[in-house]
Amino acid sequence: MRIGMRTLLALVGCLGAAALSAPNVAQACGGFFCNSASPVNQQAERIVFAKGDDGKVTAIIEIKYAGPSNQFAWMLPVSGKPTVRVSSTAALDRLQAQTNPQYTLNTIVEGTCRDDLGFFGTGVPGSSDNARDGGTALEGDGSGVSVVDRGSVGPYDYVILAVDASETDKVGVAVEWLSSRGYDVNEFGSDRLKPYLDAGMNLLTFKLSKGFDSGAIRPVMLEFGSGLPAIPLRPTAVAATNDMGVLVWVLAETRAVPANYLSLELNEALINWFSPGLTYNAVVTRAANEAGGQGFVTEFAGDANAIDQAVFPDFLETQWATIKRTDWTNREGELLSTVIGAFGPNADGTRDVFAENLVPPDGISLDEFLSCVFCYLDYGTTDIQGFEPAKFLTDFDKNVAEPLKATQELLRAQAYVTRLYTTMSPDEMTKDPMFDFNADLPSISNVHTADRIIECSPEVDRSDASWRVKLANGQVVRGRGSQWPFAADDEGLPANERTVRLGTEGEGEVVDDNIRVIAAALSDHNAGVPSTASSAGGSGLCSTKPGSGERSAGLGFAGLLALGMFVAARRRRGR
Amino acid sequence: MRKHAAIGLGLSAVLAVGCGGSTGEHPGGPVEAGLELGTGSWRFEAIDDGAELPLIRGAQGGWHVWLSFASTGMATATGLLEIETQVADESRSAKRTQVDVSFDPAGSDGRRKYVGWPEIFPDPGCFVGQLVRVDASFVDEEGTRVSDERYFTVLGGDDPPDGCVE
Repeated sequence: MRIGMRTLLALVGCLGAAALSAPNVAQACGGFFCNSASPVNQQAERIVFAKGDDGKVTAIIEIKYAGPSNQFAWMLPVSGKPTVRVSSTAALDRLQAQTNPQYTLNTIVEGTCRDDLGFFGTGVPGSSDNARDGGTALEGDGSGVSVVDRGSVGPYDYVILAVDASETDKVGVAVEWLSSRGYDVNEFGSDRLKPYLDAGMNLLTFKLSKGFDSGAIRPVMLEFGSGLPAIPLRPTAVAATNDMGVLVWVLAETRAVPANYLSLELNEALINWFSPGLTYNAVVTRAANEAGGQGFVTEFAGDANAIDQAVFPDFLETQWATIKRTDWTNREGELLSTVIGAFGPNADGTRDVFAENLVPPDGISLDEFLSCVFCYLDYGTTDIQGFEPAKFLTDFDKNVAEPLKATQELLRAQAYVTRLYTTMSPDEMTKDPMFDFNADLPSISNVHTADRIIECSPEVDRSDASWRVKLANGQVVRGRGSQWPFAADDEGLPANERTVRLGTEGEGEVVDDNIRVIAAALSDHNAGVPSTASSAGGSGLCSTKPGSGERSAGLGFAGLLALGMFVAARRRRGR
Repeated sequence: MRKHAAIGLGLSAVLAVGCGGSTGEHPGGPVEAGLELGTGSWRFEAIDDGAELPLIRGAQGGWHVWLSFASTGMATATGLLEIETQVADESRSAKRTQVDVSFDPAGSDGRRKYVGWPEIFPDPGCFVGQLVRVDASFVDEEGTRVSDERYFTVLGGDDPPDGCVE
């Protein structure tokens, strides 16, 4: 989508005993301790699709660029003449934060470790124990090109071109036309665009308007006609980096599925639950690669109510309405302070509005001023030279508040949101992913939880003790100390638990099922991690903390069940 | 490559359709190389004689029909896929596409599949109601070429394009 830019994104050794004397499972952040949810950070190209009740699709597309502003150009093949508006990076940031995958490890201690006895503290976990955040043509001039639409929006000038079907070199004709009009698209002489132009599609091209620099670049909102949401990835390959993240939200009545890409179900044993942010992306990349480079992980699928306050919450809308109807005569310092206080200094368009309406104090750049308005402007300033409150409010409303509000309204209008993520390299961008809908599929939480049971005894510090982590699928990973036993590239474990092709109904078809392979590999590994819970704990081989009423035997039985699953022969497949 | 119990099914499929080339190695023994052109976005569906395929509208991508491919006996899952689409009476120029592909692992029927290629139609309104021929060939990493040809009638689908504009 972004092209031509310089940088464009168990052996459970004592199962019997444990089953009978299993510890109470810690409540969330109760019991001994638990780790707060660790969100996963992702660097990715971000796209939002919203399919309205009328079937029409609106897309919000983030544009990333680093380079001279006069060389910025962004091109997208489109069908027909979409409506073009600007959106907000802040909107995407907030949407992402609201739906990020989170990995929560609840830690339970069996028995008593040496440091619990007063040598090294009183049960406060060492730092190594904690999971850390890783986690219709307007004109024709005989050039073979017709202008379908053109205009300016936010910091951009844009044009939508149709290339005459009789042209043999459609890409060349389009590039020549755009280049001669200040669009720096000389890098676009790629056959990547040819399939789209041959198919009769138009080209939507953006450049920065005069007076705007690359700091003004912000997402665009495009309203298309009806049809399935699609990402024209093939042109992206021109400037994409290896393993570029592609993060997609689809808003509609029901759950979205990758229509012609595989659905990837991650092997969570490969994720470092102590520091999920360190390995999550690598696991997704490996999973996608193992699926031929064309698959998406569904990171969240659920009620869109979860995001209905994510972008332009009600309180901000109310506050903004109050600001707009207030008389700010002789209260100009207070106005600027109030607006910055409400929206922050970094909301898209803020810098441009300030540049248009305000001259910073002598010797202070606009960026310096915006970074600390209160440092340079007294709250009680009555009159700022050349500043017109009414014009400022109108400009701010148009360039900052309205795009946020429009984005929020788009999110609120849909009942269901699905978030999908993958990474792709240029050589994998050979087929444009499309998204369809399946009401039969269940919701998917972005919050992943597992229990870690530390196997203590007075002979070992807690930070050195063995532990077992029970994953949501019942599989158990054993380890010791603060190290997760598997790296994301561990060849002994596949990155996908399953790959599935999902259709518009039913549960789809499993393409690759690695559940038994993973179970066998974990069994081999776990057998090599002996328990540090010793006889000193007083409960046989496994020292477990005595229950205090409520008894949970699930972990031990689950371990037995897990062992039962491991009898399956380990096998590897080749491609 | 997985082991499969249904080698015979795969072989019969090859013999029934498509044009084979050399034979490829298979855990159950050599299987004749072959390709079957089908349809389907998420699973392979055969295109039988007299088939009718609807145009699907992509919000950004024009109108397309879903094509899918099933191969047998190929040495590698990766290679070059070539697709040529044309009105059967050849009244319009052919559209040719080349794409690097990676087929799925072989399934229970012994075949590898590449599913969900959106074959976009230029001037889609001109194809509605027309009999269309699609030729497809796949060349694997060892140079083995297999091909297939199918005919189907294009339907307008749920969201049909405007009429034919010449």
